[in-house]
Amino acid sequence: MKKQNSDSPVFELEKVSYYYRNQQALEDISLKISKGERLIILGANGSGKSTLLKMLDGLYFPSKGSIKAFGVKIDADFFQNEENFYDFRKKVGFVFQDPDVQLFSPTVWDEVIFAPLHLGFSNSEVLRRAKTALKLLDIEHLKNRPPYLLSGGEKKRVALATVLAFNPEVWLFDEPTASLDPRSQSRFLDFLDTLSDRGNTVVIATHDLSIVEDMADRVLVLSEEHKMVRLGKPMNILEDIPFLSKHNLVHDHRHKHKKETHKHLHIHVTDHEHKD
Amino acid sequence: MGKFFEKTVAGIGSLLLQVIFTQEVSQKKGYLQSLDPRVKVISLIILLLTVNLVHKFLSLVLIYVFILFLAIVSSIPMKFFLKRVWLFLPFFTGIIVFPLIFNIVTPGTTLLELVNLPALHINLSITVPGLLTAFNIIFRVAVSVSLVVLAVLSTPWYDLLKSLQVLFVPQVFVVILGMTYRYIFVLLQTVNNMFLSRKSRLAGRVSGRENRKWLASLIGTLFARSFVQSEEIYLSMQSRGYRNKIVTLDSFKLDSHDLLFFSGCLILCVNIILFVK
Repeated sequence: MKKQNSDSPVFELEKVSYYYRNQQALEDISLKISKGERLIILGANGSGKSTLLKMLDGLYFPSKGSIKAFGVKIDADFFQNEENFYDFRKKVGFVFQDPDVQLFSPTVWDEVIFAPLHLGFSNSEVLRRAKTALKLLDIEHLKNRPPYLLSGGEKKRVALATVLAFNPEVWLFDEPTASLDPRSQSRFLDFLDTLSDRGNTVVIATHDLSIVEDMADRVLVLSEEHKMVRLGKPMNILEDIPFLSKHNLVHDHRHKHKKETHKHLHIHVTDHEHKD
Repeated sequence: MGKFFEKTVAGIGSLLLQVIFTQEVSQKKGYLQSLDPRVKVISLIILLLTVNLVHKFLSLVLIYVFILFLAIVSSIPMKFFLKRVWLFLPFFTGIIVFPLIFNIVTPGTTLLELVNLPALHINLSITVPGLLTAFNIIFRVAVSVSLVVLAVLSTPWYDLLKSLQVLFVPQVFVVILGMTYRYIFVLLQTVNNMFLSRKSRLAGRVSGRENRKWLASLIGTLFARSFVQSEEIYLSMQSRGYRNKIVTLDSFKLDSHDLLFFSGCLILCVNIILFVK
């Protein structure tokens, strides 16, 4: 990639809008993501989180506005250039929400070597990277399995391995904790910690508030009208319950304390007091 | 219609079980499993050609004995292997070769006379050469099918596909077939869930018309879903470096065992063709 500046933000979005066949998916997003940052994109279903991630990964291009990655504008022309394509793809990895979309190869092994092989690493390097990824995620025993014989949690781990195999600087996750059991979820959070310790930039799209406090440096909230309504520190946003409720991120929760039933907005990460 | 539902759900279940079983057998530690799939496919094709070139029944028997021996040393469950070939095949092939047993098609020594009306010039009987020819064909088909079943059971599906490249099948077909096979399971799972979710909400009788409507919408939904999913898959491939050109890592390696097996098969076939015929 030419003109790259090491001080420039990893991503720089300027008034980005996106339309799917005339249907609005994102409206006027401006944002900078710096190196090593952990950003969580919060939003209800259909708010445009996945679209935003796909734009960061250079899979969709803005209908209006522009996106710069590592200081250079990325658009269709940018990816036409082979060198740009491979350089960008090596730097940015995307873990899709549905592992069945990510696991398209016949076996786990073929899946894990796919990225290093297509990104042009040498054969010995492909093997080394794939083996390391399998080992780090503790899935060496699944190597020869076809994807349809994997459990949901195993599929998610293989999906992580497919990206880990090319070890990108930037990791994009779409709903990573959806349908994970508690143990898999805690494993995943440990994995995120490791990425952060290594200085990777991490962007996560989710509506799972339980991971926000621990995992985010900053939080971006998308409204159901596909606009950016908040960008700030996690606690400031988590404590603003009326705001979260307005954007469909918390809900009324009715439950019993001894014999008394009461109702309040439901959020696990902040305390609430009960009358005795 | 109720039966139709049950049958579909049960059918999907048993198909998955069979696939899992085949997968397990193909990954067992056995002789054929240890061979390079390319060598295996070529050797089995040579055997297949021989089966269909030779005339004598003895040749077929010799090759079948060899196949059974290979099945045993490859820990292929014998009962399953025999059932797979002999349960339905004689019946279906039997229908095709049925006319062969009569004197009208194969004249010769009569074994059993069925109709004899000399005044009308009608004579229908089963002949000995007719019966032998019919049996010869059934056996020939059974031996051929056994070879194919042996290849399928001892090789993971995708290795089998990849090995087709030695037979000049273009790589793009191999990749597309591989992905098709992969996503059949995702679609099967979806269909199964849709059937079950409908079943869980059904009470009482539903008219045929309603059911047909539902089936049509199921087909539509599946089509739309697979379309959306195929777009997502393409994006996920792009995201990991795919630029409309598939790169593969050739992981197959030939060694002396492969050459030994190949030459063994070749020598067996040449000898059978030349000397037993």
